[in-house]
Parts: sequence; C-alpha cells; structure tokens
Amino acid sequence: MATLKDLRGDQPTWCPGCGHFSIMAGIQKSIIQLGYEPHEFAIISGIGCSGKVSEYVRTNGFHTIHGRSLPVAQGVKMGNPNLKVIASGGDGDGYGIGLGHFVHAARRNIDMSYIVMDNNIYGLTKGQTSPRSEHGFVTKTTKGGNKEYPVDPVSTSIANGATFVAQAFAGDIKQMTNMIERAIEHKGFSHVNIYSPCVTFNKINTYDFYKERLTAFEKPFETREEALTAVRAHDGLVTGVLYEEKRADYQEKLGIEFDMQSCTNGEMNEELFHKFEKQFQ
Amino acid sequence: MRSSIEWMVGGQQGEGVDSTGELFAKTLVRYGYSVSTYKQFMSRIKGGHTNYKVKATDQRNFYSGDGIDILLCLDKETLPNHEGVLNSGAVVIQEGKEITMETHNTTSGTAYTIFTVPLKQIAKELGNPMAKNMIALGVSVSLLELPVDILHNFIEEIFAKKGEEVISSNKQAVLKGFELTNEHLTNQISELKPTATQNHLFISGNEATAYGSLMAGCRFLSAYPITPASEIMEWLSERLPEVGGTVMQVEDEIAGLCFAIGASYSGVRAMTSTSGPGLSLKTEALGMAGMSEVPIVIVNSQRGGPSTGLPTKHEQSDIQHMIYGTHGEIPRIVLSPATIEDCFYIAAEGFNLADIYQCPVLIALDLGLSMNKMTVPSFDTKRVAIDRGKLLSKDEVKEMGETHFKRYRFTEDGISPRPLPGMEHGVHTTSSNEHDESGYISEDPENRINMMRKRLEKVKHAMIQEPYKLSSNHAESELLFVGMGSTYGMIQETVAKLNEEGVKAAHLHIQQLYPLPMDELAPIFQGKRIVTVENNYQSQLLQLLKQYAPIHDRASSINQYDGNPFTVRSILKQVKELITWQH
Repeated sequence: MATLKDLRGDQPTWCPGCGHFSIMAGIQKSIIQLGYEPHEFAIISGIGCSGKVSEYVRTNGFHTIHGRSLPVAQGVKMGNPNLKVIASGGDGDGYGIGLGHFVHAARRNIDMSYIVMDNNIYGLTKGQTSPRSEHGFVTKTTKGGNKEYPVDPVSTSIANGATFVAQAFAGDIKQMTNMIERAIEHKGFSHVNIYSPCVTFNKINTYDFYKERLTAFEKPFETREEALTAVRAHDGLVTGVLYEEKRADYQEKLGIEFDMQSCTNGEMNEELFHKFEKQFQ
Repeated sequence: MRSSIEWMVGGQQGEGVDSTGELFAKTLVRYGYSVSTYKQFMSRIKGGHTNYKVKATDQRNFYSGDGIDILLCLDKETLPNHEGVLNSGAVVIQEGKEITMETHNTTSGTAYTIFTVPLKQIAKELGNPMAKNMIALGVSVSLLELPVDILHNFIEEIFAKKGEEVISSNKQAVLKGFELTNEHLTNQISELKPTATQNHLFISGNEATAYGSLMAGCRFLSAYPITPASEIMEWLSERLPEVGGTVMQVEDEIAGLCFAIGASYSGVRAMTSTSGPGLSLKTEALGMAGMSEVPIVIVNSQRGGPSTGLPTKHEQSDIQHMIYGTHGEIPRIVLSPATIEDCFYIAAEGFNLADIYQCPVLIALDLGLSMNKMTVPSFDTKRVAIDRGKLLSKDEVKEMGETHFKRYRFTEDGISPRPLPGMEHGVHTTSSNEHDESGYISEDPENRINMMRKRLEKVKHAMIQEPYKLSSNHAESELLFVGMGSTYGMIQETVAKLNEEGVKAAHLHIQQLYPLPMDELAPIFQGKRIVTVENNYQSQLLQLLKQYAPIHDRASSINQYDGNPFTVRSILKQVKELITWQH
C-alpha cells in the first residue's frame, strides 16, 4: 500500500498557511485510503498557484495551460479508461478562462473528478479580482470595488447535469477528504469546489470568515432543485455532497470496446484497409 | 472519338447539383477514366449558385480543367457565369418550354450549341418530377456514347432503399435522355474512347487524410465542425468505433486540440482537424504540445481568411501561421500533401513523425484538396510502416525501475524515452512550464538553455519519404515554378504548356514546409528563376523560401486570392505579364 511518502512530489512553494496545502494533503490521503497506487492516477492541472498540485502530488501529472485542465483531463480518460483522473485548478482557471469547458464537462459526464481550489482571488499574479470575488471586493484591478457578482460554481454544475457535486472547506480536512474520496469513487463527472483561503492577498474570505458562515449538509439533496434552493438560501456558503446521481457515464454510453492504445510498430493492417477501401471503388 | 471530357453542372444550392455531379463523375470512373472534380458552393444551406466540375481523361490527371465541353444548366446563372470558358463545339443543356437547338458564339468567337429541353415537364410525364437531373445526365452520357448500364447500375445502388418504382422511373429518365440525344444531337455525339479499368479509388483529400490516419493507428479525433475540414471527423466518426476508437465533437476548437493532447498523453494516436479560424483558437494548445513534448497531429484545411473570411472558398494563407504560430518557440513539423494520393501517405507519416519527434505535426490541406474528389491508384499499405518512436512498453518501464520517471531526460538526439501514465514505475510529470529532466518547474538559466536546445534541435533532421516533387526536366530549365497543396495539377499543366511553347520551365512542389529540406532544395534553386504560385496575397511560400535560400534577386510570385483556385489560363496570364515586365 502506498504511503504519504510515495505520494510526495516536488517541494511545494505555496505561502505558509495557504489552503492549498490541505487540499493537496486531502488528495494524497484519499488516494492512500482508497488503496490506489500513484501510477494509477493522473492529475491534470491548470495554471495558477493551484496548478502546481500536479507536481507536488507524486502521481502522473500534466501541468497544462490556463483554463484547459478539463479538456485535457477528459482526453486522458478517453485515451485510457483504466486511469483514475483528477483535474484540478483554481477559481480563475476553472470559472474564468475555463468556464466554458466546465459546463460541458458537467453535462458530458466522463468518469473523472474536478477539484477546484477556490480562493476568490488571483493569487499567483499577485492579487487581482477573480470571477469568484464578492461584489464590492477591492483589489488592484478593482480599486473602486468589484462591480460584478461572483460565479456560482456548484449551482452551475448542478444545473448542467453533473452527477456528483460537493463543496468543502480547506479548514475542515476531515470533511474535505471525505468529499474528495467520494468524488474519486463516484462513477461519472464529480465536481468538488473547495474554499481555500489565500492568506496573502484575500483578507476577506479568511479561515474565520468561512468557519463563522458555513452550513454543513450531511446528505445529498434528493433533487437538483432542492440542492439549488439550499445553495441559494445560504448564499453558496454550504458544505457537503449536495447532489449525487447514478447514471451511465459517457464512455459507457458510447458502447464501444475501447482499444485505443494498442497501436504498435509494424505494417498497416491489410484486412482493415480492404474493408474501408470498398467505399471508394 | 475523344479521350477526354470536361463537364459541368450548375444550379441553385439544394437542387441536387452535387449528387448529379458526383453521379456523372463516378460513371466516368467506372468507365476507367482518370477523373478530377471541383465543386463551388456558398456558405448557406439552400439557394445561391453552385456548380460541380468534372474532367475525365484516359491518362492520369490532377486538375479539373479550364474549359467545358458539356454544360448542364439547372438555373439561369449557370450559362452567363461559365459561357466564357466553353470549349469550341460545346453543348449547353438547359431547361425551357420546348425543345430547341441553337448555335451561339461566345464573345471571343467560340461556337457552341444550346439544347433547350422541358426537363421538368418530361420528368413529370414519367411520373417522377425529381428525375429531371437524370434526364440531363442521360443526355450527357449518351453524347459520349457511354453504355447505359453504368448509370443504371448506379441508380440501383443509390435508390436501393427507395424501392422498385423510384429505380424504374429514374432508369426511364436516363433512357429518355439517350432518346433526346439520338433525336436531336446526333451531330454532337463524340464517343469517349474506351479504356482499361484499373484499381482506382474515387476519393476526396479529406477522406484520404482520414483513411490514412485510421490506417496509421489513429483511434481518437476530437474536433469542432468547420468547413472545409468537417468531412474528416464525419468519416472517422462512422469508422473509428469499429476499431475501438472514437470521434468526439467537443464544445469548441480549443477543446478540440486539448482533448486530443490528453488522449495522446495516455498513449493513443490522436488528432484534431480544423480550418484557419480553428487553428487560431488552437494556437495556445499547439504551444503546449510543443513544450510538453506530447505527439499530436493537427490537420488544417485552409480556407479564405482572415477572420471569418470566405468560409467556403479556397485559399492558402495559413502557411506562416502553421510554421510560426504560437508564442515562444516550439519544435514542430509542417507537411503539405500535393495530391489526394499524398494525403493518405502523409497523414500516416505525420503520426510517425509526431511519435518519433514527440512534437506537433501540422498537415496543411486547402479547400481545393480537401473537398474535391479525384481518382487515385489504390493505396499501398506497405509504403508507410507504423513507428512509435521512443514510446516505452510496460516491461521496459518496469525494468528501468525509476521512482519518478525522468520524462525529459537529456539524450543525444534530444528525444526522451516516453512512458505512459498507468505504467508501474512510469510515474512522471508532463509540463507546459519550463521544466527540468524530471518535469518539475525550473527557472535555472543553464537548464533553460539545455531544454530549449533539446526541443528545438530534435526536429532538425525530420524528413518524410517525399519532401518535394520535382519535374524530370528541372536540370535544363531556367524557370522554376514552386507550389504547395492543391495547385499541383494546375502548375503541372501550365509547365507542360510552356514547355510546348519552348519556355524552359520546371515544377517543384514542396510537401515538407517545415523543417524545409534545404540541403536538397538549395542545389535545385541554384541558378534558376524562381516563381512561386500561391493562393494568398503576401506570397507566404516565397517569403519562407527567401528565409532559407539566397534567391532574393531572382524570385517572384504569382498570386490569386479571390477565393477560387487557379486555372491554367490564370497562371499563364500572370506568367506572361511577369516575363514581359522583366524584359
């Protein structure tokens, strides 16, 4: 069985106290507790502080480009259905530049997990407003306060057909790890939004801010509508598995016998060639 | 007796122009002729003039031809649009109230015959108003004294599902066409010389590219629909599931490339297909493939740009974009098939090069090459063998026994052995950041220099089997025409014409645009007057050649960027202006 040491990759460079440390630990623990080996996993990350997780957790990792972790990760799973695939990134990466992919990943339902480290700010570029920043939030790029309203990530994935939607808080490692484990084991697209305070640039959405305001739900809501209502009623400040549904995933629905990786050196398959040749004669 | 025929059907979009054209073309294919086609169409579903051009010859041809011997007019625009290119003695078939025969002259004095027939009325009388095009086809085919059986056999194949009644009325329509010819056009009949049928395929550039990709082991294509590349995904969409693969139509062009990169990272031969606007959107992910050294094949079928441009028109204006596009500097290979036959082999070789050099391979098609069909000798499956480069097997990786596999280790040729995710002892990091041998982020200047060299120098010696095509008379020529893509046939015929006139001209067609095979090309350019023939304004091919060859004092270009492909006539006109201007 893998140990924490086996799952340690490059030395993290996040600021001391950053919520991302807990999320990384949550991913590592989940892999260990679920009994997987590092080589069975691929973590596909986007760009930003959160994007470095693919290097810090020692599994197969692909540090991609800004906003594109989801399309790459879905491609990875398509290529090798036996891999356990996690896409990961921050709120800017996933709900700003990459939002389009998020909606489509939710409705497509490929068997993989999407873990978002939501700190309500752009950290790596040193403190600009993010699509998750609150209305009125003051940053270097919104000196007069943010005039926009934040994206609602969990409602978006619930409304667009995700079959597993959870929200967690990096300050509650036990609950968060449980959410991640359940997301990994869910067959289909699972989305976990994790509040991860940025201790350097975000002085509003702090650990205390969340501790005071979060409401935990013990079990998923029966319907998408109930889940959406609860999220709205609490202004998004909820934790727990909000919605879960059993449904055949995209690859099952395709109904093909996947055989994509078997291409090996040698001559072209003559028989196959003649099969397709007829159409053109 | 004739040994070639140029034929065109024109009409409004949605009138069956395409199917009529294809049926005529296939009839000639089955008759053993070498057929080239070109279809003109507009960016709308119904309405607007469209046409389908066919040229058939008993010798192999690569160009659908300048002129027209038989013109089938299904709308009022067809004749005025194409009168100027009618060949002497041409027959024009058009719809009208009653049967008439008239002789006309074009403005340049070419005599032709207009045969007016109430096609709709006759079809109605036959009990199938839809069969009017079949009557006209019957006239066309009988003017060449082709056996009626070929067309009848097609009708049985095409309408097999529609039942006996439809088959029979369409067969009658064809026979009616034969009757009309025998009654009214006996003087215009000119038998098309029979020829031995060969094992030829009638196939488009898109289909040949898709077919070659599948045969090379490609099992995954993710893309977004776009003219003129959609047929690649459509063709593979039907066939990949039969071999354990799939096509995914994804949410946008960016995802189109990113999904494919993901699948390739998993070990699958993967590709995406697109056109200019899509390539623009894919450019960042193209850089990722180059930086992270993930093999990928990107087919770019060029169309009229910039921006939305001329979506259904032909152009070759992405040459520089394909070679230089993306921020920073990446290794890449850019290939450009000259003919439909080459599409098959170059697609297959593209997958090999992507695996061998672990970099993006762009395959440049253009609308002319992509969407039009031609007869080609059936492909040789022995010509390109699958080579997956330094891809490691499960056992090889296990044997190496590394804890964190050095994905980007320095090697003599700059190419690092590649494990796949999922392999024991193959755990590795792939990255779009500058990285060290382990894949971890590194900003160390010395490492940066070494990694840049590793990536950018590894593709230097990449070479396909046929990086260019060169006419056999190049040694004694003074003028060297250089082209890429679908201009192959037109340049070939232009050069033949010039040679007949005593002009010492030769033809070079480049199939490997990057890296340019300069060791081979430099001696070919030596002492020659270079003229590129290209469908763009900025002479992108010429600029590329100038970057590598000292030809600045003796090179110029012939350009066309009106959305249409060159004709031999339009090239010759510009050649003559060029020669006059020079003296």
